[in-house]
Amino acid sequence: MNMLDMTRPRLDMPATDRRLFTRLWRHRSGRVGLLIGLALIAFAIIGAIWTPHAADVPNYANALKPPGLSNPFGTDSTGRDLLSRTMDGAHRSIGAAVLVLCIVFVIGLAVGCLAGLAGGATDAVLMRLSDIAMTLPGLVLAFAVLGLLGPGFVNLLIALIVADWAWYARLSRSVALTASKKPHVIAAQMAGIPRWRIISGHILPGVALKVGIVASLALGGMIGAISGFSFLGLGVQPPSAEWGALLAESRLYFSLAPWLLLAPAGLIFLSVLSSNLVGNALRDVATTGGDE
Amino acid sequence: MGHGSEPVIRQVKRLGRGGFPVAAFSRIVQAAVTAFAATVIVWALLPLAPGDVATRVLLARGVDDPSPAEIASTHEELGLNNPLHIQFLDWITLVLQGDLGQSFTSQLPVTKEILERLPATIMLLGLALVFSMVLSLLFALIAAGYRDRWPDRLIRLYTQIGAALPTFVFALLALSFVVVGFQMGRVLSDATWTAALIPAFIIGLDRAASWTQLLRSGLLSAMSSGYADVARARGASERRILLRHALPNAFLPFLTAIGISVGALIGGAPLIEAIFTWPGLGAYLLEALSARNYPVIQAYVLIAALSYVSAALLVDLIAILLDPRLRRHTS
Amino acid sequence: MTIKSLALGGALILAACPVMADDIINMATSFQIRSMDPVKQGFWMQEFGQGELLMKFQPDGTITPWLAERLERKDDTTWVITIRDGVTFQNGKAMDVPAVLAAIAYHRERNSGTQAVVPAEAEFTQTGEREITVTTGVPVPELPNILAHESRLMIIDVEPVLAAGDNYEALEGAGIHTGPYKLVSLDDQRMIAERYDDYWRGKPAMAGVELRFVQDANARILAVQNGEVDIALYPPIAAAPVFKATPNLNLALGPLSTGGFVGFMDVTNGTFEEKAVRRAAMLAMNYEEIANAVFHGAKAPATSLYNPNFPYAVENYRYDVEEANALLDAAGWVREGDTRQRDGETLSVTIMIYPQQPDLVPLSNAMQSYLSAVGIASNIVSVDSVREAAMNDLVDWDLALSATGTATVGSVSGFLNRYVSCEGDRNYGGYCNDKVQELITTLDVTVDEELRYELLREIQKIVAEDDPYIFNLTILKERALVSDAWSNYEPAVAWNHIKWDTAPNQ
Repeated sequence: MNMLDMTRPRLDMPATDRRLFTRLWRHRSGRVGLLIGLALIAFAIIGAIWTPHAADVPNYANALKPPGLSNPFGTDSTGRDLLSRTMDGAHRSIGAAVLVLCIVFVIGLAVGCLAGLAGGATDAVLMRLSDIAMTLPGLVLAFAVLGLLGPGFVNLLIALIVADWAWYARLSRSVALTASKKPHVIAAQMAGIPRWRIISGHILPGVALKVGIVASLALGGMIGAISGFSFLGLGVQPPSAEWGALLAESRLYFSLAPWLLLAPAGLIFLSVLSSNLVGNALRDVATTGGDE
Repeated sequence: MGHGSEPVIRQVKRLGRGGFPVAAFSRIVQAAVTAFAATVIVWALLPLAPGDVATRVLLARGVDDPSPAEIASTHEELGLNNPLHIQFLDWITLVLQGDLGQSFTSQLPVTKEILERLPATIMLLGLALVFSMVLSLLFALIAAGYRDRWPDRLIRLYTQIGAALPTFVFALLALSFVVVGFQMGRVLSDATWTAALIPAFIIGLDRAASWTQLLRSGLLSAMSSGYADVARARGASERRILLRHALPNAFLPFLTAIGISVGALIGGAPLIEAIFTWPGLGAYLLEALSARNYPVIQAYVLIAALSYVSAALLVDLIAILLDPRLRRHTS
Repeated sequence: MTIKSLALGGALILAACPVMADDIINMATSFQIRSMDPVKQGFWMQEFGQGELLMKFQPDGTITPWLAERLERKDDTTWVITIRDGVTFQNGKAMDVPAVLAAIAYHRERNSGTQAVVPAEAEFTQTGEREITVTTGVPVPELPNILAHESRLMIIDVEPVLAAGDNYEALEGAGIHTGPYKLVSLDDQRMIAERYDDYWRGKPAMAGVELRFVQDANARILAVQNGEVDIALYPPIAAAPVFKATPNLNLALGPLSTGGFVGFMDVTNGTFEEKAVRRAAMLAMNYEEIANAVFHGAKAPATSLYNPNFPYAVENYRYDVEEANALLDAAGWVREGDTRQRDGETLSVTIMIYPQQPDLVPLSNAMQSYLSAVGIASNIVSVDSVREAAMNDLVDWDLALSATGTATVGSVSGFLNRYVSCEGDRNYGGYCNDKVQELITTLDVTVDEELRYELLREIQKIVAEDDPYIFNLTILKERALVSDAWSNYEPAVAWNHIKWDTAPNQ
């Protein structure tokens, strides 16, 4: 899978009712995906607060130890515990991905709803703007922004937001348009309920929920994208740990310490896998409307 | 204009009546507008760049502490004192003549440097594209032919894993464990076809995972459709139904997906080339990024955008050609 | 895989036969030689066996003749260079005095680095068949070092250079240099050079040189391991254990270099405004462990601002946690747990590194733990360019790390004037010590060696003990990664990676 493909999940809009989560939970691979996702998020939250060893303090006597009891993932070239490094990196990888997705979600929702519901000139202007942003493949746009601002973690996050907002804006717009044509909305309009109340009460919550689901499915892909840029040295700068940066560090020591490569690669794999499993399950649940 | 959200087919449907020439022409005009918009963005990178461009140019040329006089004369030299629209016209005139400016670091024409690197990238990505198309076609046909039997299960496992591994992670694992572990291939690749084989196969194998998923489900739904049942009733073999009926039907969405992901392939080139130390355009971009060599970054973005637009156009034209329904008006 | 069997076959043949004289040197470096422009890119030609200089820098800090036969100082402003007899350019033309004078004039006209060190009033004139008299006008005590610096006065045949104009590609194969290997082709992937049979010292050991430009350190390592190159430059020292444990990969270490990883403290802003804290930070560093554990013995412990082999180097660095603690206590920084506080302020510093030097990562990490041992909290920022960030105050920093030579080819004045002098263009920390300033100014015009040594010893004392500003964290050793067949390769000082007798093991 290529990086920014994954930050834009292809998904037929599921029916979003209260039983969605229950149905997802009953779906076997959906449950596995949810469990992996929750475990990774817990891993990141714990890692932000506590790690078994200090993540940044070298211990040269203990360098390049294979996985064992006190260091379940082994140690790196300066004797730092890899489990602690990946835990510490998790809150950067996952946290940053969540942050980027939240921001593109908010921008996308605002722009998309404004365009879709205001219509007319506003719609035309906003959509042409998003058209322009989407003339370039997402990754290329991200590289262009990084070229402008220079490498760095914050700049990387800005680049990813610039690369992805337009896609979420278009998605929100089409969801909002569909929602505004629903019978109960039209009925409310006829009943003379003020427009802002219709929007805030009847349209926005549903749109936010649907787009939110799509955005949360993009989490794995976003983690992959962030780690890819950090791998190139364009994102998180050493000695801060981040999964992509850990992968880059591991290359040098591969012949001696292959575990350095496996741990971060495995975590990135699990993140994307979890998103894919939940995404597929959602599609199943939405089309069959029931259990597996 | 954009392609990310709506499948291309749906856009094409809106093209109106008039048969292939009209539909194709209208699609070409659309592509030209997109290409122009991309060009404007690319140009805008320079005026948008933070800090003074002239100072950056001088620093990149090795002038450590540029004097105000030097900066002013560089402003003059680069035409930075002109109004923006004049700067744009000057720039686009040169670009149309194939002049993408001068590299800040080497001070050689960017066009020349790009042309030296471009064949390597085309070779690697082109070969990877061929590999992934062949592999996904093969895997999807096998999986659909042996539905729910072990070959299908195996292929589905591969697609699950492949879809969950970002290309660069997959490439890194394959390179480390297979190529270096067994000393296959060379590390310092020259851009030759033999050197491209292994990296291209690795990229192809990874990309094929999601395409296999797509084509497999397309084939399966075609095989359970009404006309497949009719064919079965007429005594056609399953293999014949798969190859003669299901494949042509499932092929178009497959082609569209490939067209769209060409953009992703180009965008991913820097990572891929960094992993395989491939002397192509992506590696050139990475060097330029760390040096803030804007003309090179602009050139890369321009080339990537144009190839993306042309790939999407090509796929659409093929789709229009293959499927007459797309020429008709569907409102 | 056929490639594998081919490579195996090749290895077997290599192992079976003694090294053939017609082999070439396969080398990989991280920097691309962009053109044959003698002004901007010409210095590379000294490194890989193409170009030569009049004088040569030696590991002990002395300067010996190279293309010159002798260099004598007549008085404070007059020197006499006698050039070697029988040297020819690779195009067959004799290297005579007019040719050397033309090369010197060429650089003085165009090369801003040369202009910065050779005074405009200096005159180079022919005073004998092989004799050039230099009158410098003002004293230039470091003239021998200038003649030994690859970026200043490389001896080239100027005629073809002028004829080529901007078309530097025309110089490929033109034989403008005097060295053992003549450059015949250069592109963005590699440089290829052939043996120059009439080289003045005799027949060069190998048939030629192929130099690959490979930016990625990891790829250079793998290329040696895979037998694709014999020698790879700029290995990341932190990976030394990997080199040791991997077959066909050896870390070759040479003499101590003229530089190291230098720390600059921001004396105008923040924590390091206080002398006591600066001194404490220097005392907190475990110089032995940095060299021997962090860098696995591939670097040498720093003992002063200069390479300890140099005659003027003092030994005034110490690792003394107790004294560092005492200094901080006396300054009112009260230890509370892991950190120190004063007036509600926590003692903490920001270390600034840059990504082009990967070894700064383990170094800065180690420094963090040393600082924390004396109660100084620290964080690390990585910037694009230390110079840009420090000179323009782009980030809030306290300690900038940089790979910098303090006495490149033995010349001390460049470093002192740019980095330490009050008005220096790379005085990152805004340091200005009147006494040091006076010493530097005196040094610039003092020719007598013993007097110079005295001045240098005093400078070293002040910048480390009395008014600390700049210090070495470790001294580099010249280094390269080599294959088994090249395990005796000795990395040389002054970037002279390929010499006329450079060859694999016997």
